[in-house]
Amino acid sequence: MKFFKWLRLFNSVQWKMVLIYISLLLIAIQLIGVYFFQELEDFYVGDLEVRLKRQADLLISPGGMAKELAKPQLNSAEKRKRLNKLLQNIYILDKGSGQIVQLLDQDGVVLSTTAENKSKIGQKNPRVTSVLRGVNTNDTQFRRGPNNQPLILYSKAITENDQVIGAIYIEAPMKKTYDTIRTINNKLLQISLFSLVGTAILGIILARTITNPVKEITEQASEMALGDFHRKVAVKSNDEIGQLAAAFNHLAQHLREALSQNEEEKGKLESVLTNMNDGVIATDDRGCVIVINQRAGNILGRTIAKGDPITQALPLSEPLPFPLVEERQAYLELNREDEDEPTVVKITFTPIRRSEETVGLITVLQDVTEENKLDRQRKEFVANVSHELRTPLTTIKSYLEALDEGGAMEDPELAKRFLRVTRQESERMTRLIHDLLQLSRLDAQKVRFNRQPVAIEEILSDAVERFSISAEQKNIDISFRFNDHLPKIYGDRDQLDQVLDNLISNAVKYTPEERSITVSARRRSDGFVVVAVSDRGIGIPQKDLALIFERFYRVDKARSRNMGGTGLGLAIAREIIEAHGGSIDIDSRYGWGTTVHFTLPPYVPEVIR
Amino acid sequence: MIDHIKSVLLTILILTSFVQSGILLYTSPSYEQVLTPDDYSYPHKIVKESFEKQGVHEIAAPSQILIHQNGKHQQIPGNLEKSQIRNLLSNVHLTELTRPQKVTPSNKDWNNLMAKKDGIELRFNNNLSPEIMQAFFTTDLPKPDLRSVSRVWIYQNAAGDQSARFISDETGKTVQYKATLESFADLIKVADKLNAPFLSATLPKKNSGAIPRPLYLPNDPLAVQQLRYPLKKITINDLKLALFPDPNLIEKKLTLDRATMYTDTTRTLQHNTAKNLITYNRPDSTTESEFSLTDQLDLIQQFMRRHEGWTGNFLLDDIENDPDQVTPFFRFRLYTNGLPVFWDGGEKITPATLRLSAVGKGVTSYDRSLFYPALQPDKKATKVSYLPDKKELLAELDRKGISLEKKVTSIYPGYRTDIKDQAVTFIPTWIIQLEDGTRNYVEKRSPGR
Repeated sequence: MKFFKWLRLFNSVQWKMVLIYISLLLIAIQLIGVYFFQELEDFYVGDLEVRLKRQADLLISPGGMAKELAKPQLNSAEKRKRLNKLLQNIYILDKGSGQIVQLLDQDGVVLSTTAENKSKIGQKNPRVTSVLRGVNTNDTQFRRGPNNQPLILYSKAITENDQVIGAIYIEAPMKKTYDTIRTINNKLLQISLFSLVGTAILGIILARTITNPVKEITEQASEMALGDFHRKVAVKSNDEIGQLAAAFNHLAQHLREALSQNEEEKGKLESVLTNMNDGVIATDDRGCVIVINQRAGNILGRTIAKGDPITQALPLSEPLPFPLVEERQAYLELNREDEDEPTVVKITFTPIRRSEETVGLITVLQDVTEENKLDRQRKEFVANVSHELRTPLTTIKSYLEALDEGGAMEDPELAKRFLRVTRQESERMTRLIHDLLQLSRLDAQKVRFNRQPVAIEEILSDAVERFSISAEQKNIDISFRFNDHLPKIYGDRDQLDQVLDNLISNAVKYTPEERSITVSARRRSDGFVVVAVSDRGIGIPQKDLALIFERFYRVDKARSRNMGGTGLGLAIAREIIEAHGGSIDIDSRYGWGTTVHFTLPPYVPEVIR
Repeated sequence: MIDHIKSVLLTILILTSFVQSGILLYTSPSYEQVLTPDDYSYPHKIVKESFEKQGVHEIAAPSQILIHQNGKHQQIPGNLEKSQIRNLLSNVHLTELTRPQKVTPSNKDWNNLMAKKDGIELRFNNNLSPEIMQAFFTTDLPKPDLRSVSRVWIYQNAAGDQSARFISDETGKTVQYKATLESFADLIKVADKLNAPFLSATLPKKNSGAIPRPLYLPNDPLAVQQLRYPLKKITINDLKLALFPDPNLIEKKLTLDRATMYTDTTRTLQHNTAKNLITYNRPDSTTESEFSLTDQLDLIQQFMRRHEGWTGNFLLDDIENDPDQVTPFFRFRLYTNGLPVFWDGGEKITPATLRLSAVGKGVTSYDRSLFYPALQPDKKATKVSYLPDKKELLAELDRKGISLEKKVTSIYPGYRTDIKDQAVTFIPTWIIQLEDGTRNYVEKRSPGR
């Protein structure tokens, strides 16, 4: 492990640079060293060789050993003595330097030597063979002596008439020469070593100046990877490193902005998802939930976590195939215990495609309960209208057929009665159509209200007055009560009259004889005028109260129809009151009576402005 | 890609660094070979034991030494193994000879010299150059004005004055020197000490004016040891090691049917495998030699001593002059028991002969046989043999028709050889040297006598 740690350390740019730097320097020093050492050695050894050559030339020179060696001698012993004496006399150069000079005959046998040990005389010296053979006139060899000291061996042929007659052999110690070379080399090595250490330190510093900013940038990049985009790299120079640092800071800033925008967009998207009326569930290609908004949970009435399979989140009757190839729709009914009606959810599955490959699924959940309800109400409304229109038409048709075919015309009384009924039914139809048209216009907001500041007590008083006769006919006491300080209201008198007519007429209709009806008005604390029409009539069952303002809703359909009601009066009243900015509601106790309240906003001139 | 190139470059740089270190190390002087005193070696010897020649004078020594004392004549064999004889030769060699002058002694004077004066007569087998005398005596010897020298007679008169006569039997001329030989009287007594046989002088009839050359023959049969020596052989490898300065450079250059040549480009060694002869040559371009015969003999002596080439007591026998060569060939003969050995067979080079020439700074040619008789004889096979006495000998010569007066130049005892079973028997014989250069042998007539 330690090895790999060290390896990793040397794998850094800094150490690589230092290593390369030192390697290059080392190579340069070696290159210089090789040639310097070589040249130095060549110089000193060459110098020594020249000295030995000079020595040998001096010994061989005319008048020297060559002449003596070539000279015929009667007695070989005497000749050797003379040669020996001559050698000692001529050997002047470098005397005392430890050199050994030998004179050899043509067979390489030592004739004379300057060495103190004369035992070599008479022996063959094998190192002069090449010069004795005439291959070279002189020869230089390098050896180590018995005491391991380096030696230079120089031999030179002695010739006469171009024939080798002997040789001079010089054996010189090279210790001094090599000591000198070594001293110079050591100096050079020391200087080189100091230079190497110095430059290595400089190399480290240089490498650090380059790698430290890079390290800093790397650290910042790591911080950025962890999400911190606010740190900056110090730009210390304007060189490439400085430019890199500046570029990195620029990049960080751009990334920060881009991420900020991204976050913002993400927030928006989340906001949209959160506030969507539809539920959204996104899954990956395996059907695991990756995105879900709150609305989806609300619609489904359960908590769905990310990562849950969508098949568990949605209790579908048929399993959903993955991956989904095309868009699909499904409906889901959720029965909730606390609600009377089941919640109907429309589910749209849309595959997410990327390059022809399905990578996920978007599921949109829409609560279509209200839509279904409205649709049902529309259908019911159409059925009601059809029924309400067909009933008088059937009556009219049957009476007219009776008149035409039954001979009722012959009985004037009967005919008159038949015609009256026919007229009543047609009038009812007319009213019905009138009411329907009015409701339609109110729904379409096509009714133009001629709103003006009017005194409510006046309207109420007139309405009570209009029904006073019919009340009296049923011996019903109708009264009107109001506060003195009722504010004016801002409304359409005709429309309000219609509302009051509907309400008072209903009160009269459903109030038995000798009972009372009270119309009252008061000012509420917020300034609104509260109008109440109370009767002591038959009342409305509690279960019908919630639906009493629905169109064509009747508590007792037959009775109502007989009384000439269209079933649209209260609905029209509600539309008108709400169009005036007020509200309407009803309190009733079956068998005790009913009170309908409605409010109207007061006239405030500033509001108009 | 660029990163790879960088890596490769870095690697190359580091490798270059190592290579440079290697070069630095490599270019340093090489001291692998340690110089030890063992590097030196004495020149290779071809035999374990050789005959020691103490100087050129022992090569140029006379083949016969005659002591004339009180009118009696004794022959001392030139056996250098005997200290008395070596001592005698050494003293004679140191004889101081001065004031040479040509003389023409009368017959009376010669007779007087033989009969009345003590003297030492040195006889050389052939008529040798006067320069050879310088080799035997000293180089300070004034060269006698003679064409050749056959004998040197050192004598002392009654007054004690010593003289030496250099005699040329070839020309009949004599040069006389004043001689100074220390202990002359003691020296001539060596003959008695050695029990040298007494001989009688036989003087063949010569033309008048000719220098008398008596033949010294025994009155009684002459006892001579018959010797048998193991025959030894020198290996060619020993010769290669001895004759070439660096045997490592020798190449086998030429191989013929019966000869192989070795050379190191400066010298050649030819080996006749059939005859077991070798011929060594070291060409020398010297055209005119200022070297005397003595110098040349000195070179030969050094050369032979260096490789122990004297496998026996060889003495200068003859000098052959070759017109194609600056210096002559020196022929040496083996002397055993002080007597010359004549090898059987017609070969010029035998185990009993050597032929060398020297010029310039060394021996230029060297012919010899690879065989040689050992220095020590087989003692069991040694026996005394008797050569015929004077009477028998002369009768034999007469029988053979050899006229002493006309044909014989000298008669002396010697050996002929008989080779059997890797041994050579030296059979004593009278050598009758004839004027035509041929020899005749007369051996014992009655064995066991």
